[in-house]
Amino acid sequence: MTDPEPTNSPIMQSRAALWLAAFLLLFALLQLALVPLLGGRDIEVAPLFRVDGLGLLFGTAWTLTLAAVAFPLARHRGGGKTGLLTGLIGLGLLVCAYAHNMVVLAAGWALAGVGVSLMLDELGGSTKRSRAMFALLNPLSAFVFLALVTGSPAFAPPAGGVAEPWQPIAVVAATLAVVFTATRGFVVGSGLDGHEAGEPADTPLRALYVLAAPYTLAKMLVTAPWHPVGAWLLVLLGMLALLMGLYAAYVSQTRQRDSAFGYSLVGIAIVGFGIAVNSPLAAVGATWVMLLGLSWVVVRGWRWAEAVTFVAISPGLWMVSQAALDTGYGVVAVLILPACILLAVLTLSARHETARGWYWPGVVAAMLSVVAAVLPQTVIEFILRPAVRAMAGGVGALTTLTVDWGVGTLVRTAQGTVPAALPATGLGLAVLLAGMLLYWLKQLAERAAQRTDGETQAE
Amino acid sequence: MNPLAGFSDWALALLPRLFLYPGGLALIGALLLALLLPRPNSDSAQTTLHRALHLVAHANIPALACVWAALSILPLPGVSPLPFPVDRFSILAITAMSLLFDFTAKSERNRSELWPNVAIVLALMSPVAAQRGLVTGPAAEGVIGYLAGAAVLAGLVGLFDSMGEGWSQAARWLAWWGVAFALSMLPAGVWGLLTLPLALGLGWGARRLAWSRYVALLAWLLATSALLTALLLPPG
Repeated sequence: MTDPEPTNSPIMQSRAALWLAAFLLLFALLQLALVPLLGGRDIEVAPLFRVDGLGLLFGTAWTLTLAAVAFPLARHRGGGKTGLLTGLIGLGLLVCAYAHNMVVLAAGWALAGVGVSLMLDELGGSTKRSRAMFALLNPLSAFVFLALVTGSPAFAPPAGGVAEPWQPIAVVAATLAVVFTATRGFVVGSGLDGHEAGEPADTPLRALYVLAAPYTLAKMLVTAPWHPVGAWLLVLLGMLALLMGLYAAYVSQTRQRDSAFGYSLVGIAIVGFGIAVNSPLAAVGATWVMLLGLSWVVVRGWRWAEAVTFVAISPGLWMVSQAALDTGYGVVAVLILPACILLAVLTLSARHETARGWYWPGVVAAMLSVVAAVLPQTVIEFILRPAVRAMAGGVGALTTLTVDWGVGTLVRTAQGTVPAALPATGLGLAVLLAGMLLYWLKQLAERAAQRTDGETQAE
Repeated sequence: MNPLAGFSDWALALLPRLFLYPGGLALIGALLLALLLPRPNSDSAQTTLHRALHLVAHANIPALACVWAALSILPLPGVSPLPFPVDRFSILAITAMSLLFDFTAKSERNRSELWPNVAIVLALMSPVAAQRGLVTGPAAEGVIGYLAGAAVLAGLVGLFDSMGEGWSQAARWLAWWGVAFALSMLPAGVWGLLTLPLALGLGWGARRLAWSRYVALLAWLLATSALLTALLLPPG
């Protein structure tokens, strides 16, 4: 990867980068501090914002991801303008996270889109600023249509009784909005829009924008479930997005292949949210993929990025697969794992050409991702359950997913049968023991091989 | 159950599986396979000891550790069950992680190994389309099982060449066979065990005839047929 040339003095740039990262980290901590203050309650600031478990989860996660991504950007490009634009993207995403209704959500996407397009220009991409801005604001039409169709109700669970489901037309409009957003983020600046690909430095920001796209569906589930036809359409369109990402990874140039990974994760999240109304397990799986998929935004560009991301998202894939079987989508359950393996390996080729050195936010993200995959119990109980509980309007109570703190997590039906079991902690122990023994064996073999090589040469 | 007791039960059940049977034995078997079936263009002047030392010294630790863990949790006949159930997805995902770790350390030119591997994963996942859960059981019955088993064998034949490349590749080859055998996609008992030398023999033949690509294509066709057949059956 050729990073952009530094424009200011290294000391100033490092200082600005640190200030920017520190500000974003502080903001993430402030959001985290709201968790004990809320105590499971939601705060409504009508008609603009609504703070609930789902918003807090993604508001914090996106701010932390932005901090990790902005740090190297600001260090290379100088703090001032980069910092402001990062702040604009962050503001847009936060407005989305805590949006009270569809109109505010659309405004959040517009802000984030403007921020990303200006950042593309700032980073020297070949796509013109006006063209990029037009492309990234294009999905807004789908959001406006969605707001008109639905009447922009508040993203709040029904006060009592059962909510009226979202009609198929609303589900189609929402899916189009998500797919448009993800596609625009995927295409602009990647070279697929008929222009030469811009600087690779912008890819993490576009990846964050793409991976945040399915959040619209999660927000809608806070209010009401999908109409059965709408749920089926979501699964279909989600699988199409996954396969399109796979196809793009297979046929595209290195840089586009790199972006296809995030696009396919969006497809899996759409499938998960589609199934979620019939199986709450899928809502947990989709939220997992969206959350842990963010690790790819931070670690991408490294040699081990896809492997780490695959490890991180695999519990989410497991949940979506089992939920698909529960609801009769056998083909989804079968295809998700092979598709993700294929995708990760195809995207790996980009790694060899754009490999970059380690930097500390990436190291932290990689470590946290692996810990989350080995101890999914903690993520499920402390992070995902409150977030899925917030989707009370469309997702039922999560009763089948149980955790065994010592070994892993399993699905237990009301009849007591266990259709799926993931001993993630137990497998982590097996890999650790095996790895330790292999390390010592390798050391011994290397020494012995050196000695035999030396003897052969002496002879 | 208290979490610490659950963890220690798992660890106690895992240790003999990891270091003795099936994990330890399979790992030694994989080393022997990698040693005895070198790639045609490898240096034949090296002694066996020399080659063995080089295989171990150049082993990809994360890839081999993942596949070793997968081999040790296989629900093979004659092995006492683990205290915590393990489903099909878990076994396949950890074996797939070993594949990813191997590819991470590789260059673009070795990508041909990818297709038979993914065909095998597809074949091994196919029977779940006709089920309600991922937990391994007497799933692969009838024509789905035969098709999936045949796809796995074809995939293994296609992967024969990769076995001499490294210890982790050979271990993964054995792991795929082990998963198919443990999940009853291959015949039970002695007939099932005979499929191992059969796959090796066919793989050797395919290498001689340079048919590995066609065999990989056959694996894909069989795996897709298994999936389609499973989809046609009502879930149960």
